[in-house]
Amino acid sequence: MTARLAMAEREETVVAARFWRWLRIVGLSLVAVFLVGVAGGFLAARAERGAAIDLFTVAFLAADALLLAGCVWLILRDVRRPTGEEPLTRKERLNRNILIGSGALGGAMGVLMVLAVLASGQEITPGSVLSSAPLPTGVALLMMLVLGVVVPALSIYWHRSAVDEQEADAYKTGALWGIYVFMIGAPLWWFAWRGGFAPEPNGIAIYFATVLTVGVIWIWKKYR
Amino acid sequence: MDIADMKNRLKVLRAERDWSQAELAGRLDVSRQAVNAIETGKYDPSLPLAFKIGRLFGMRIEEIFDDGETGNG
Repeated sequence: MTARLAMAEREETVVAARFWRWLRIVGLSLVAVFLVGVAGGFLAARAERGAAIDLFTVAFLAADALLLAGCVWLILRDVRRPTGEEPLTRKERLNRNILIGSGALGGAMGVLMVLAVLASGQEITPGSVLSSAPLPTGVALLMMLVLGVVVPALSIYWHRSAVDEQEADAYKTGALWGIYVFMIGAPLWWFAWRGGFAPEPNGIAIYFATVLTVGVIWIWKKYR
Repeated sequence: MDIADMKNRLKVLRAERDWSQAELAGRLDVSRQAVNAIETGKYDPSLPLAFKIGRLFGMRIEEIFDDGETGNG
């Protein structure tokens, strides 16, 4: 009996390890997207100045590619790492596949945005993600289609088929925190702007802050 | 009225049957995180899930879950 309870204790450790593994995967994915953006921005800036491809350009891009490859390697290692876990249940597998698919969709949208911005001759900076600059009509329509049709359909399917009640509870807690960040943060920034303490409120920045809050609390509540 | 922390015997009952968290999760159609969260008292299951757990172990809900109020009159 003691041995069985010890086994149960070990399983709790495995769950904690899984939390940190997924946190690393998400963090490294964000770094990888950032590195792609850095390379794109660097190339665009060089092209704009008409700079020739010199040793510095090659070294910079090689370093960026090396870091990117390192990120990809670490992500793949974490995805494949045997952690002593048993095979996923049907629902867990479906959940994982939907989340990976959603991440890939988000990544593809990010890459498309970077390419669209580069094609329009604008410079890519870390702040570009909050930009309200015009987009080509086709790209904007595609983004609207994905966000207006694909994301809601995928979300409904995910909530109905892959999420159990513990995760739904974690998600609701995340959503509660998110709505408070929005309800307090948005007018706070607005008043700060009107009082001359802050720059004009940026809707996309508020959106990202809300989504980030929901995501962090959801993952924390699910795996803590 | 204060609601006491819920305690449960899920980990012991599971260990008695030599079930892993994954196996119990599969039988309840929930994730391992859910089983783990219930066992460690971080999440209280809904009434339907509590009944499902009771049926799975052939026990009444109050034989598995204890709200700390039993015997307090």
